[in-house]
Amino acid sequence: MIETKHLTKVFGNLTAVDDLNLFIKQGDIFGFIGPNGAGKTTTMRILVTLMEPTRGHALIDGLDVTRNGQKVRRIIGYMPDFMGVYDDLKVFEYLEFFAAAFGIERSKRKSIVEGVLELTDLQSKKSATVDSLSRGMQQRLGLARVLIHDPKVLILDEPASGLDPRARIEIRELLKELKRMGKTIMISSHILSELEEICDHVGIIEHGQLVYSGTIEEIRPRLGIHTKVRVQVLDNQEKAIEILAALPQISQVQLCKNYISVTFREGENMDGIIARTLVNANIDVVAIQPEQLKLDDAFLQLTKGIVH
Amino acid sequence: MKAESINLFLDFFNPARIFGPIFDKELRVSSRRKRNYLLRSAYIILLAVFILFMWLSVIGAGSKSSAIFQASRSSQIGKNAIIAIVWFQFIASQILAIVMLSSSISDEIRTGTLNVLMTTPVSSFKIVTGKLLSKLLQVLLLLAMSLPLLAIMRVFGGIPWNYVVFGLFITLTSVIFAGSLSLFLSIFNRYPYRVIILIFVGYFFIFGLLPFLCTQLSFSNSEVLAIFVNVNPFLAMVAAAEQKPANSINILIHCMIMLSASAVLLVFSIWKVRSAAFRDMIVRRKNIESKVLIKDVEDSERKHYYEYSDYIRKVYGIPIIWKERYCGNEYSERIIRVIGNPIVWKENYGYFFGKGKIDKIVTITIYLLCIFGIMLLLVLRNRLSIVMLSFTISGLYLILMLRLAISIAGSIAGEKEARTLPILLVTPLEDKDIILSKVKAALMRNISLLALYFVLRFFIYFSYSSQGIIRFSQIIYQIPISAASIISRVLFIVGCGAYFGVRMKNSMAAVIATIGIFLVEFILNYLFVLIFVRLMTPFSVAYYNIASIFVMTAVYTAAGLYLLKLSIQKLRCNIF
Repeated sequence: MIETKHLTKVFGNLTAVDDLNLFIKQGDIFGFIGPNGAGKTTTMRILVTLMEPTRGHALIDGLDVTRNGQKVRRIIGYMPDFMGVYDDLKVFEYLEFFAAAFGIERSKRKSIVEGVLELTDLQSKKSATVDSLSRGMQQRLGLARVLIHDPKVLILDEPASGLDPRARIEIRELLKELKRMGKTIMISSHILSELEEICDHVGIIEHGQLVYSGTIEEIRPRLGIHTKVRVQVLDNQEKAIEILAALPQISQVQLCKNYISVTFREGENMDGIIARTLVNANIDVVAIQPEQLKLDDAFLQLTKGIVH
Repeated sequence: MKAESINLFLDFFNPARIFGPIFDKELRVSSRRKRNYLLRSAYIILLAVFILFMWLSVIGAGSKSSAIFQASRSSQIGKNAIIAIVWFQFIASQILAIVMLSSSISDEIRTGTLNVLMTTPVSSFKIVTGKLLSKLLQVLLLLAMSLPLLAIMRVFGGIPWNYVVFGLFITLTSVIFAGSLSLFLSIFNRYPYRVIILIFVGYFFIFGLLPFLCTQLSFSNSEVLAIFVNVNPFLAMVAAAEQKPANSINILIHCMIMLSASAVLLVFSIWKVRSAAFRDMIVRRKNIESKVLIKDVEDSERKHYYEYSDYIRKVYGIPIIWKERYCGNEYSERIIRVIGNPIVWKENYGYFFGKGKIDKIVTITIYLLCIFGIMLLLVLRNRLSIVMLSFTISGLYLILMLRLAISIAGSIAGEKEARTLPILLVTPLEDKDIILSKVKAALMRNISLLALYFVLRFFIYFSYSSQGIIRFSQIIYQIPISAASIISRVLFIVGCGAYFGVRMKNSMAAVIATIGIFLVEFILNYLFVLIFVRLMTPFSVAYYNIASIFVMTAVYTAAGLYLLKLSIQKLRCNIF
C-alpha cells in the first residue's frame, strides 16, 4: 500500500532522507521509529504530498505522490506532529469544514461527522470550541479529522506525543479499532512501548537511512541478541549460579535483585535443562521466565542517537 | 584604579542594568534579524525617493530655463527637501513604532513566555520599558541616519534651524506616544494587525476627521486649531512650519502633553501586563474546566463552583447582555453549518458569526461618521465641502487598503502560524482554490467599505460638475476610468497580500511587507504623475491624468495578477 523507492530528500548540505526503501502492506500498522532529526517527519511529509523528493519515488496505493498529488490526497489521512486547529470553530464545524474541503456532499456531511465523533468518542464535545479542548481531546479530534473522508491510508506523525497515560491508552485503542476497520496505518512515535503493542511491523531510521525493517520478533536474530531468561529460586542463589555457570550452553550468569539472569550462547535456548539441572541439585525453582526484547533496547542498539 | 572607576561608571549607566534583561535580549535578537537591515535599507531608499520627488517638483518647473534661474531655486530646493525629510521622518517613524510594538506583549503571551517572565524577579516595569525602549532605539537609529542629510540640505538655506529642531521634537514625542499606545494595545489584542488598524483608524478619526469637522463647524478656525495643536502632532507639525512665535509655546506644550500621555499609557501597561499574563493562564485552564462545568456537573455543583472557584466571571453591566455574551456564544449548542466554498465560509466565520465584532464596529463607525459628518455639514453650513469629501475618501481609501492588506496577508500567513496550512494542503483543494477563496473572503469582508468608497468618489465628480469645475459629459468617461483605477489598485494590494502571506512565516511580517508596498505605491503614484507631466507637455492636464491613470491601471493590474499567480505557485514552498 505504501512504498518508497530510493527516496532521497536533500536540504542544502543536509541529506534528511537517504535512499530510503520501504514497503508497507495493506492493513498493516507500521511503526516508524528514529531519533530526533532522523528523517521520519520528512519522509511522512513527502508521502502526504507536502514536499517533493529530491530523488526517488514514493507510491501510495500504486500512485506516485509527486505526479498524482490530488488522487493521493483523497486516499490518505495525515495527522502532523503538531496539529494546528482553527480555534474559533466548534468541534462539529471544524470537522464539517474538512468534510466540505474533501468534497463530501452537504447532505451526507452531518451523518459522517456524527459517525467520526462517535468513533472518537467526542460526541459530548461537538459544541465545544476547538481551542477549549484538552491536548488529548485535540489529538482525538485530529484523528476524527483524518477519518472524515474514510481514507485507506493513515499517516500519523507522533499522535501520542505530549499526552497523559490515559489519553495514550485511548489513542492506542482507537488505532486498534482502525486496524480492525482495515486501514493501513503508518505511525511514528517516541513512545516505543506504545508501538510495540500495536504495530505489525517497524522501521528504524537514522541519518535518513533505514537501519531495520521487519517485525519486532525478527529483530533479535538480526541483531545477534542472545536469549536471556530470568531464574528465580527459593534459596541457595550462590549455589545455583555456580551450577548454571558450569553449563556449556550458557555464556553468562548474573545475579540481579531477586533473580538470576542467564544468557544462552547464540542459537541456544534450553529452559528445560536449567530446570532439570537445578532440581537435580536440590534447588527449589520458583520461576523461569524468558526476558522479552524491548523495542527500546533494539532501538538503542540499532541507533547511535546522533542528531543531524 | 582608573579603569575600575570607568568600568563602574559604565556599568552604572549600562541600559541593560537600568532597563533589565528584556532590553538586552531584544537588542541582541534584533541584531540577528535580517528584516531589521532590510528595514533600514528600505527607509533610506524611500527617503531618497521622497527627496528626489521634492527636488523634481522644484527644479522640474524650470527645466527649460537658464542655469542662473536654476541656481536661484536652490534655497527653494533646500526648503522643500528639509520639509520632505522632516515629514517623512515624522510619518515613517510613527508607522514603524506602531508596527514594531504592535506584537511586543501579545507575542510574549502567545508563546507563553510572559508567564515564565512573571515567575522571575524581572519587574513589570522592566518588561514594559525594555520592550518599548529596545524598539524605539531602532526607530531612533533610523531618525539619526537622516540627520546628516538634514545638515547638508540646511546649507542650501531657505529654512531656519528652529523648524528642524521643533520638527525633531514633535517627531520624537509622537514616536514615543505611538509606541506606548501600540504596546498598551498589544496587551489586550492577540493579533498585532488589530493593534495596527485600531491605531490607524483612531489616528484618522481623532487627529484627522475630528479637527477637520470642528474647524468646518466653528466660525473661528484659528482658535480651534490653536487648541488642537496642543494635542495633535500633525497640526503641531504644520504649526512648526508657520514659524510664528506663539506657535513655539504651543509646540512645547504639545510635546509635554504627548510625553505625559505616553507616561500614562506606560503606567497602565505596567499595571496591566502582569494581569494579562495571569489572565492568559486562567483562560487556558478555564477553557478546559468551564466546559466540564457547563456540560457535566449538576446545577448545585455548578453553583458551588461559581462560589468557590478562582475562575469566576463576574456579571458586568446588563445581565442579559452578559449572559448572551458568555453563555450565548461560548457554551451554546448552536452550530453554523458549512455552506458553499469551505475556505470562504471559514474565513468569514469569525466576521459574520462570532468574534469579528471589532471589525464590524469599525466598519459601522466609519459608515456612520462619514454619513453624519457630511449630513451635518450640509445642514449647518448649507453647502457640501468638496475638500471635506476628498479628505473623507482619502481616509477611506487608506483604511480600505490597510484592511485588505491585513485581511489577505494575515489570513494566509496566519495559517502557517496556527500550523493549519499543512492539513489544509493535504485536502484535495487546489492551491489556486485556496488562494482565490481567501481573496474572495477578504473582498467580501471589505465590500461594504469598497462600495462606500465608490459612492463617495462618484459623488465628488457630481459635485465638481454642479460647481462647474468639470463638464457633465466628462463624468461619463471619468467614472469608468476611476472605477478601473480603483479595481486595479485593489487587485495590486490583494496580489501583494497573497504573495507576502505565502512567502512570510508569520502574519506580522506579511502584513508589514504588504503595508510597506502600499506606502511605496503611494509615492510611486506621485512619481508616475510627475513623469507624465514632464513627458507630455503638449497636452492638457486632463489628458495627462487620463493617460497616467491608464498606464497605472495597466501596471497595477498586471502586477496584481502576476503576484497572485506567484503566490499560487509558491504556496507549498514555505509551509514549515
